[in-house]
This record gives sequence, structure tokens and C-alpha cells, in this order.
Amino acid sequence: MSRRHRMTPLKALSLAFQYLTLVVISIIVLLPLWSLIVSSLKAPREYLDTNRIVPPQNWFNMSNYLEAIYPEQANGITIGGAFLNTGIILVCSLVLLILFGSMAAFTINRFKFRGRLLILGAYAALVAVPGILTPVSTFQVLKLLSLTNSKWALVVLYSGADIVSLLIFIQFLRGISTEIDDSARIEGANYFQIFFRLILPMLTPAIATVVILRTVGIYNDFVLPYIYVPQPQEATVSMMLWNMAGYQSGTTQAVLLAAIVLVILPTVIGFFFLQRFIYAGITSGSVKG
Amino acid sequence: MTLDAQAQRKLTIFVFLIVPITTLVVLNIYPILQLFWISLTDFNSINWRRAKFVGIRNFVDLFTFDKDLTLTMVNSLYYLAGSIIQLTLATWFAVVLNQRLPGSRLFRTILFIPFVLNTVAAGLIFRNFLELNGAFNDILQLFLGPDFKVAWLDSSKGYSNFSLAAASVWRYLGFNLVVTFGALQAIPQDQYDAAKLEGANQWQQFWRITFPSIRLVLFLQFMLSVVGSLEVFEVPLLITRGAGETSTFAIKMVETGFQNKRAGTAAAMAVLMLCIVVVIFIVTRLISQRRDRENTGGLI
Amino acid sequence: MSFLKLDNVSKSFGAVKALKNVSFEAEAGSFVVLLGPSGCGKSTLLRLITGLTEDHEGEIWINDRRVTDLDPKDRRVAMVFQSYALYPHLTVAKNISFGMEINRVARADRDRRVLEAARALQLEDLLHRYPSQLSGGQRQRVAIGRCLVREPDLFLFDEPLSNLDAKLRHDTRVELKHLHQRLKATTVYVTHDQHEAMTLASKVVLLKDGEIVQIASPTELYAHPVNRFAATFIGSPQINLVKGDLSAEGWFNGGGLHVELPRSVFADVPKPGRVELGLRSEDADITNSNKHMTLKVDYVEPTGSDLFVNGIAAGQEIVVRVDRTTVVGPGDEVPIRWDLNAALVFDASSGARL
Repeated sequence: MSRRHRMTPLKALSLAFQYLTLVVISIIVLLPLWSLIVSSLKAPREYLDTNRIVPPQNWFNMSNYLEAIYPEQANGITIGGAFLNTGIILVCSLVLLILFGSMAAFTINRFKFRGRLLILGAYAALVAVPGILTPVSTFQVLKLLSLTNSKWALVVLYSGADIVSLLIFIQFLRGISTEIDDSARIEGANYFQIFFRLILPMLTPAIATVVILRTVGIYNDFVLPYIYVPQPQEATVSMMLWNMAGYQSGTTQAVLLAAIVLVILPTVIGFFFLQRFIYAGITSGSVKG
Repeated sequence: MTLDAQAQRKLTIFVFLIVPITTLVVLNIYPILQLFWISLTDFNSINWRRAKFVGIRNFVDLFTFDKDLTLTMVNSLYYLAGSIIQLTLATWFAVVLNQRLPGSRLFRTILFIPFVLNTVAAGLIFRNFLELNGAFNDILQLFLGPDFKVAWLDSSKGYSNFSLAAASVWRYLGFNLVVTFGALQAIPQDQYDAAKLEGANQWQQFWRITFPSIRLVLFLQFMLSVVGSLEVFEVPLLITRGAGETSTFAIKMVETGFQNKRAGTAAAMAVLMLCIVVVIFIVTRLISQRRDRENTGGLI
Repeated sequence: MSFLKLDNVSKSFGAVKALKNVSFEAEAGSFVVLLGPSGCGKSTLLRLITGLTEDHEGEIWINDRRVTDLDPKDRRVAMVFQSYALYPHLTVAKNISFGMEINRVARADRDRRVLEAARALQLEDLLHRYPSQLSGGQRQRVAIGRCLVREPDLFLFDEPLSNLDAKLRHDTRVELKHLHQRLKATTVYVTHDQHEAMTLASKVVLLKDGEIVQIASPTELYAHPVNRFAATFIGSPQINLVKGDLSAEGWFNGGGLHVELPRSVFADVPKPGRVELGLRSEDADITNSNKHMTLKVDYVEPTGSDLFVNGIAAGQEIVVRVDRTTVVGPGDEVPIRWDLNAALVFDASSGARL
């Protein structure tokens, strides 16, 4: 153990101030969430009579949650249906994104060919153009592909590789010695075998990072479904909440809050376990990009 | 059939890139090009045959008739101001957390939570918080008396844009924090050790070592915030449904293009915004490259 | 007919000529070491033999087959890489059988060959481990096992010991030597380490700047280097070079030395002119009888078995290797007598041995 320095009063004060700011910002950040959770557990009468910060009388009052999951009168889609839609979209677009993104990254990293940097530049420049700028024309493209009003439009839009995922793959590929490729070639493997049997499995950590980052992005997205797929039957969890918020009245507000809790629960729980990956992905993607 | 190595390589490059490049062209390049074309027509977003070439009339319209556009530009200043506060706070907290005080990880986790929330959920949570009967007023009543009540979200009362900017800070603070924190962690610890040996205090350490090392990352985040504040869409739409005073450029554009079926005008708006964004990106690139040369420890 | 034959092989990368007219042959069962400083083209040469690097001039034959235009997989060569290039997500057994799986070898056959190789390399207990769970030496054995099962014509090694620490490097080198003595497989081995080259090779191909300097057995290379570069590259401590003049009668004069060199050190009659006299450190004795020079000692390095005595004689740095029991310290002046029969004489400007 190292000898402890005695703290000067100034240092102690500075430390105390730093902690104070941390505690204050944490309370500010957590208060809306606290209010959400306690309110979602209150019975209708209690919800109207108490303010939004006091805890519920019964922490285990699940009536709002049951009502959110099994609504008495259905307005459009149920939570279950929305989760199913979101799940289908997530799985399909992640599989495509991983496959084609890693293939593009492999080609760009392992082969020297003309246009290689052009492709990378195109990804950096064009994909950086926010989707919100091109809805008018992207909508026309989706119409041409007969994809409007269906969740497959979202799968197509989400499965195009983004520059962050691409850079995560390329960065990881740089760490895989090309001697692996050479060795496999001497043993008789062609490039497809090298990629699918060796490189792709070795990319697992990079794939994990991309999956986690994109899952957060896709699961939480609102803009694309709002603009391209407003159909209630095709609603993602985002659109389901949006629609529900449109129908709400005073008595059903607590039910909406319960639905919100159900929607944020998977990502928040996932985040607690996988935050390391998210931080690493954000740092490598945004700082080195 | 056997191919020589050269042919095999070419085939691999082709097969591996055909799908990614096709999606890049169809979903990114083509829409941007088409946007320019639509902006020169009176296309009604339904019938191509009736679309007529109208030259720059859509652009002239934007600049001459649309008073709403001025409002949206002013509104984006609220978000810009918000993001400057957000960046300052994020830098402060990143520096504090970077000292590895006990509990650092917990605080970082807490501050990052809003970023992983579903967008709609986050918007509704904040709306619920700031409502007339919401928790925020409840708390203020504890301090300011039971009669205190402010309609934070009522766009006619003048607070709504502040509230929306605050919502945006609440949601994205953690993101900036993590980016800046990552840049801080890339600074070698021995630089601080050397400075401490020479007797530099914390304040000097920050301005001589920390700040120069993260200056570029902060600058890039700032420029992204500028672009972001021009493109605000979800936050007002979700919290105030983009009503009246709180409308933004992107909301107006989507309204014009889809609800009002004036694709030509909407495309002109998008082109205008695209040009602004491109100019900002080019400026950013130029400045960051110069900075990068000046300070070889740059992370870009 | 030799087993491996390179005929006038040249390779350029853009404007840079990496290899210039390289030709050499190797007999079946020999252990050829490509030796040279970094950037001399030895790794490029190895990659040309494998076919991993394409587009070169000249011809390559392996086992009487012209392989110049063949793909790596068709050349019947196997290679151990510097990093070993083991596939980290596959077990040892899967690593060894990967090539056979790719080439659709029947499962039973595959398993049998993996087991044979494992037995030959004492890997039987490790077959279900992953590369990350192995020591450096074990990894090399797996990499060799991967080569063995393919029953190649030619084994290639690309600096396989350079990632290991000193002790392990020695052990693995011994292992390699044993293995070669047992298997008698024709091997081409690339290294920049003269010690590895000397201990392993049956034939050394010394390269510099993309050209062959000398092809010789290790003892031949040490005793009769063709030029100054070969003499200085081989041997530790480095050979002493004394600048001076040579007379037509075979007298060397310079650096405090005035000696008559035996005729046997010259290939031809002595050609008078500026020369450098190469003297190996172990060819010196400390003796007062008929001393050749006096060495003012600068510092002494005990290596355990010998003492390396470093000093200055007539303005030139000289190192001599003497018996470990010799009593000598900094500042001493010691008389030196050289064994001139082992001396090497180089032309001062071209560096060629006279």
C-alpha cells in the first residue's frame, strides 16, 4: 500500500464540490424516470389524487401493465404485436447488416483495388447525410421497390451498412494478421472459405459491438417508421407508443406510462450488462471516425 | 473449374461488394440526386406525369413567402444554445469521472441511461415530467408554495422552446460524456505524472494537458451539434407535436412534403439544408485537419 | 536434379527492385536458410516460392515440377508463419485438419492423419485446446503439425522464432533440429539471426539488397566469406577490420600491425593496394612472445565461457575473445598475437575478399 497523502482543505472542498455536481445531475437525470415508474404503478384514482413523485401505495399494483398488454379495447396494434414487428425488423436487418458490412470491410481491408478509398469516402460522406433530409426522394425509391407501408421498408433502410459499423469492422480486421489469409490460401482455401470459415468467426467481438450499437439505434428509432411506415398493423414499439399517446385520455395516461416502462425495459436492462460494448463502440466509431 | 489467383480476387471483390454498393447507390446516392431534381419541379409526391419543371421557383418561394422558415431558424438557436450547455456539462463530468473517484462507474451509467431509451418513450417521459400536473411542477411547489404552476410545454407561453432544448440536453448529455471520456482516457497517464512532479496544480494540468488533447474531439462534437440543432425533428414532435411556436425546419419539411403533398417545395427545403450541412462539414474537415497537423496527438 | 530450383528470379514492387536475378538450388532433405538483414528480400523470396506473391521474372521448380505459374495451393508447399497464423477460434485438432476439410479429405482419413501428426509432435494431449491456451513452443508444434498432415514437398519457415523469448527460442530451435533430422523434409527457412542460420542450416543463402551474396555451408561461410559484408554479418562479436596497405610480397601494414600474411589466405597472388584485414576475435592470444600489437583495454565483457576484451590499438577498435581465467581490466595494456592463417583480406573499396 502506498502512503496516503493528507488532503489539503482546498482539495477536500474541490472534491466535495465535484461530488455535489455529480449527485445533482444524477437526480435531475433520474427524476423523470422515477416519476414514470411510480406513476405507472398507481391505481386510476390514486394517479389523479396524488402528485407524481410520491411512491405508489402498492409497489406491486400491476393493473396498468396488464391493461397495457391486454387492452380492453384495441386501438390498432397490441404491445405484443409491436414487439414482434420490432423483433422481426431487428433480426432481419442485423443479419443483413453484419453480413454485407463485414464483407465490404473485408474487401476494403484485404484487397488493394482501384476505387477502394472512393467507396470508403462514399460511405463516410453519403451515409453521414441524415435520413431526415431525404424523405421525399427516399419515399419515391421505396415506392418503386413496392416497399412502402411495410416493415420490410425499414429492414431495407436499416440493413445498409453505416460508416460507424464499417469502421468498427475495418479496425478489427487490421488486428487480424494477413498471415491467417496466407496460411489458408496455401492450405487450399479460396477467398470465400477464408472469409466465411476464418475471418467471420474471428470477427465475433466486432460483430457483438455492432449488434449492440445498432440494436440500440434501430429499437429506439422513431423517424424512419414515422415517415415511411405509418400503418398501425406494421407499427414498431416506437410507433405503437406514438399512436397510443395520440389516443390517450386522463384515465388511460397511467396505462401509457406502463407501456413506456415495458418498452424501455429491454434496452435499459441490456445496457446495464453490456455498457462496456456501447462505450467502446461509441468511442471507436465517433472519435476515430 | 479453377480460376487463377487474379481472377479469383476480382470475382471475390465483385461478389462481396455488389450488394453493399447497390444499397449505397439505391438508398443513398440516388435519393440525394433525385432530391435535386424534385426541388426543380412542382411534383405533388403522387403523380410523376403531372410534375412540371419550374426552375428555381421553389427556392424563390422559400425565401420570399415563408415566414415560418425564419421562425424555425430562430428555434434551432434554442437547441444550439442547449447543446453548448450540454457539451460544457459533458466535459466537466467527463473530467470529474476520469479521476476514477469511487462511484465513477455508477454515475457514468446513470448519466448515460436517457440515451439508451426508446426515442418516443424518452419524449413522452419528459412530456409527462414537464406537464402542468407533472413531477417538475410538483417539486417546485415544495419550494415555491402550493400555488406555483407553470405550463412549461404550452407553446403560447414562451417557455416551450427552453423546455424542449432541456429535453434534448437530458437525452444526449450521456453521449457527449462518453465520447469526451473516451478521448480523455487516450491521454497517457505519464503526462500527468510528469506534470505533477514539476508541481503543476489541477487547474494547470487541465489547461496544459487535458484541454489541448481533447480540443479536437470537443470541436467535432460542437460542429455535430450545430448540424444537429438545424435538423431537430423528434424532440418537439414527440413532446408538443411540433405545434405552433415549437416547429422546426425538419418538421416543416416533412409536413410540406407529406401532409401538404408539395414534394417540390419540401425537396427545395432539403436541398437548402443539405447545402448548409455540407458547408459545415467541409469547414469542420478543413479546420480539424489543420488542428490535427498542429497537434500530432490528435485522435482523428 | 535438385529438389528446389530457382532460376534467375527477379521481383519489383513498382520502381523498387526487391530481388535481382536470384538463383539457387537445394537438394532433397536439405535445410536451406535464407539469411540477411531486414529488407534484403528474403521474405519476398519465400513468398515467391509459396506463390503468395505473384508476378515475378524467372522460374521456380519444386520436385521436378515447374510451379512458376501455379497457385499456392497447387505447389505442394507448407509454411510456418512468423505469427504461426493459427486459427484462434478452432481447436488444435481443427487447426490441423482445416486444410484437409477444405480439400474434402474423407473424415476417417482426416482423423487418422491428425492423430499421426499429433503423435509425431507430442500434441496428443492438446488436441482439444485452443491456440490461446498453448505456450509459444506448443503453438509452433501445431503450426508444424498443420504442415505435416498435408505431406508437402517443401517446408517453409518465416522467422518462426522471432516472437519467442531467449530461453524458448533455444528450446524450439533444438526441437526444429531434431524434427528435421527425423523427417528429412526439404526445408527453406528465413531468418535475420545469424545464430539460427549457423545452427540449423545445411546450406545458407546470404542475401543483401535483393541479391545473393554467398551460398555456402555454415562452416564454409564462417571460414571463407566472399566479402566484407558476409564476414561482418556472420560471427559474434563482429569480426575486427583493420585498415591498411598490402604490398606485392604479402606484407600488411596499418593499424599498428606490420605483418607478413601467409600465402594460404590469398586466393591469388597478393595485389598491392588499400585493404582491410579481417581478424576474428577468437584468433587472438595474449602473449608477449612475438606480439603483433598492444591493446589498450577499454572494457571487458564476461560471457561466462569467455571474456570479450574490448580496446583500442593504434586508433582502431579491436575486440578479442580470451580464456575466462585471464586477469585483465580497464586501462591495462595487453600484448596480442594473432593467428594469421585464419586472417581474411578484403579490398578496401569493393569489399571483395582477395
